[in-house]
Amino acid sequence: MRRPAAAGMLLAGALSIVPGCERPGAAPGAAGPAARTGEESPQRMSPGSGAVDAVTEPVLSPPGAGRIVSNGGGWIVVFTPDPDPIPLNTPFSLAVQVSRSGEDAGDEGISLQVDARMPEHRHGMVVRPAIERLGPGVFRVDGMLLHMPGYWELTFDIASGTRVERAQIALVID
Amino acid sequence: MPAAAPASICALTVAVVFALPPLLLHAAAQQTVGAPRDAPAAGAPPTAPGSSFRPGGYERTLDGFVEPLGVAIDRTGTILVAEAGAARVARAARDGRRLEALTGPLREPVAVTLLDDDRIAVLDRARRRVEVFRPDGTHAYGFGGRGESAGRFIAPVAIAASGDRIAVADAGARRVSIFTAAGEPLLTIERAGDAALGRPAGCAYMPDGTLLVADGSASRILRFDTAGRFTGAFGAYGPFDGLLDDPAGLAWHGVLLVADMRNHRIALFDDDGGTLGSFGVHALVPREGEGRFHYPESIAVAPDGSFAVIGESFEDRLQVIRALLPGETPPEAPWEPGLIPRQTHFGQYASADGPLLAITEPEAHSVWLFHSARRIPIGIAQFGERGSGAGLYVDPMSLALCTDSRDLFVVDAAQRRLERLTFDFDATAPIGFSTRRLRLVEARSFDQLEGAGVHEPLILRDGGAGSLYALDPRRGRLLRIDRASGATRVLGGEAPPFVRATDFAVDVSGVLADAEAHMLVVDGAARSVLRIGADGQPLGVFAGAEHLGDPFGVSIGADGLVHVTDRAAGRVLVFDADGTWRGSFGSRGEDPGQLWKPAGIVRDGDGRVHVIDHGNHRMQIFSPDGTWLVIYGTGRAYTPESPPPVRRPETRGPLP
Repeated sequence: MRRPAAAGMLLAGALSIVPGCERPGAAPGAAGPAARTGEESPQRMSPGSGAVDAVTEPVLSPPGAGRIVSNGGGWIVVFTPDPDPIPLNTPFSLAVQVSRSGEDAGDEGISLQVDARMPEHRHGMVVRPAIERLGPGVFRVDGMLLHMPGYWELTFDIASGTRVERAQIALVID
Repeated sequence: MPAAAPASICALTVAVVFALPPLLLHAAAQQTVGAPRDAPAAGAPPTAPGSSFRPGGYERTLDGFVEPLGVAIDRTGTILVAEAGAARVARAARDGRRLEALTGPLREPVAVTLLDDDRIAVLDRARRRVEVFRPDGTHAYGFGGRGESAGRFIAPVAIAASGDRIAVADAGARRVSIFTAAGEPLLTIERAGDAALGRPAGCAYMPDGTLLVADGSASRILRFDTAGRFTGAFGAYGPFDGLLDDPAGLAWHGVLLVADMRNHRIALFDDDGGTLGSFGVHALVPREGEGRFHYPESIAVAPDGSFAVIGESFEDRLQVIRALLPGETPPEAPWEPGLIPRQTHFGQYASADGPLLAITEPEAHSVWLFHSARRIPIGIAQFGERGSGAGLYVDPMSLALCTDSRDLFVVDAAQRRLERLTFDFDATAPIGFSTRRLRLVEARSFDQLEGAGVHEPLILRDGGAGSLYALDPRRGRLLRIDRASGATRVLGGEAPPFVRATDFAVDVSGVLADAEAHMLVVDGAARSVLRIGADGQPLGVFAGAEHLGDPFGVSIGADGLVHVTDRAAGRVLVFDADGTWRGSFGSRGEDPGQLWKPAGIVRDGDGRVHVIDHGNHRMQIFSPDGTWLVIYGTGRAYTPESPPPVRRPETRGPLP
């Protein structure tokens, strides 16, 4: 399994896909499909200031590297799977970098939990991944396994103090 | 409509369903009377009736109790029942005859136990005290009181005694306190190894002084030695034998009997934690019994081992289970027809805002979002599974819906967490269900709110202006939480104005006659609804015990009507904005418009009244004046034009 020599090199080439679905400033109740932009602005700027009004969600296809904004807008998560794209029913790893929105440097004080779930089936993975902290905001996740084909949600729970904020991205595994 | 029960189920020989391993069943049949009271060896079946209780069959139902939360049996075979809703400890003979009750200084007795000298110790939830009665029923003394210091209680729920010791499980303080029989604090148990106690829900002593504690939120049984040291645990969450789902009452009689509440059965374990099977099956139709259980939460075994009593406060009844007789062949586990109807086990709290309504479903460890602007509400989203991480729930308890900002706040009482979800919703789009509609934004531990002294659980309401109101019922305090930052402020003074608050409503429309009143809080123990100012200060009684029997939920409508649910009477009381009683609707039962232990109540965007018909596992909608309109859940709905099929408990016979 590939292991990067340095944290700074970890995410090289991982920034080309931006599947965030932010619509800052949208009026509550407004209709329309979710936008798919390259902006780093948060999906929801602040409580009550905007909302996503479509169930249709961008799906990362093929299920490869991605860069997403957390659901609360506070964090940017960049991840690269190994192998890439993510295979069906085969263990894979993730290289993950987490930084505060608007900042390049990783945060020293955060921790990370990574999971994947199939909401339609109401279950997750059959394994528990191992997460290693390589540096400020830089993590390696081993032992991921998407054992079923279909719609998955990959979640990154970023803990800072006693607050946890989630970033997530949808994947379809064939 | 349940199918007709097979002949084997309707047989006159009534026995409780149980599923002991065949080897154990055989061994149990070889029991003889009068054997020593030793516990069985680990993994081996007990061999003597009287020393090790084995279920022999359903005997009878004792009903008509009011919130029977605790049971005990004295050495004469008299059954003692802690009736929280009747402020007494009822006494009954095994054949159902009622004997003179214990009253004395009791307000909400929730548990009862016998001391070695036959004195009776009663735990009072409302007064946070233990009251000790002499065997003749006269009150002797009491101890405890509200507080967190040694010897005081926050939310005591269970009691056990052995020798000179009395143990009290306190779900609010998340600890077990040990006292001398005279009430002197001896020690406090707050941890089980490296972990803090979750929600102690039951306790029992073994003959050697080992204390067994049911941790409801962890679905485990914990063991402690006489010095309070943790010596092990067994059990885990799940539906199969040996696994538990929210265990509550415990009893030891040669084997450990566990009221496995959400598995709707009694689980048996040996003294080493090995499973010995279980008995009882889920009552699929509310009110169904005769060996079928519905949230059994307390249990006691007669000292001579001849029978056991299982308490089901959900059904306001007890079931007597006789012991297996010497030489009797244990009944075979009967075949239960697959009659599982579509039931939605909603929780006790809902939140409505505009065209949407949100409600918890604790047994599915999830929350639901309904589109309520149609005549029949339609489920449009479900979120959550059981688990310990963010976005996973053990006991999702209450929520607050803020439709404009697309926020849904959820409290998981077991994990002591406040979560903010967001959701997609387009009022003009076709209505459809999606598991992708709700997503987690953030989760905050109650520890972050600890500066405000927050205990689980919390009851939430939208406070407007970017804030939430939260009611901490165990400490009797109101909090204001900033939605964005989580900053928490305690409202009101230090003295709790509530004895046992169950629900509250915020006057967002400003319709209450008392302009200073901003909230109404239901105090279940005081049988009153209180007016509370925006600063949390109590302003007096809005409605009192002259109208309220067992109040639980409250809503304030934009039309100035205040609706309050009454659990014991199965009805909804209606008040004007100044507290004048206008009348009531509903009655206790299962038919459309009838209610069984109604809990939360909310008004939708059209002013309709949604009542959580908790004991019937459904929601019902009424007009503000009480005309029944709709029954709904997930996947079913009934109206006056399309009523539900008549379903009566007697359509199925006793077991087996």
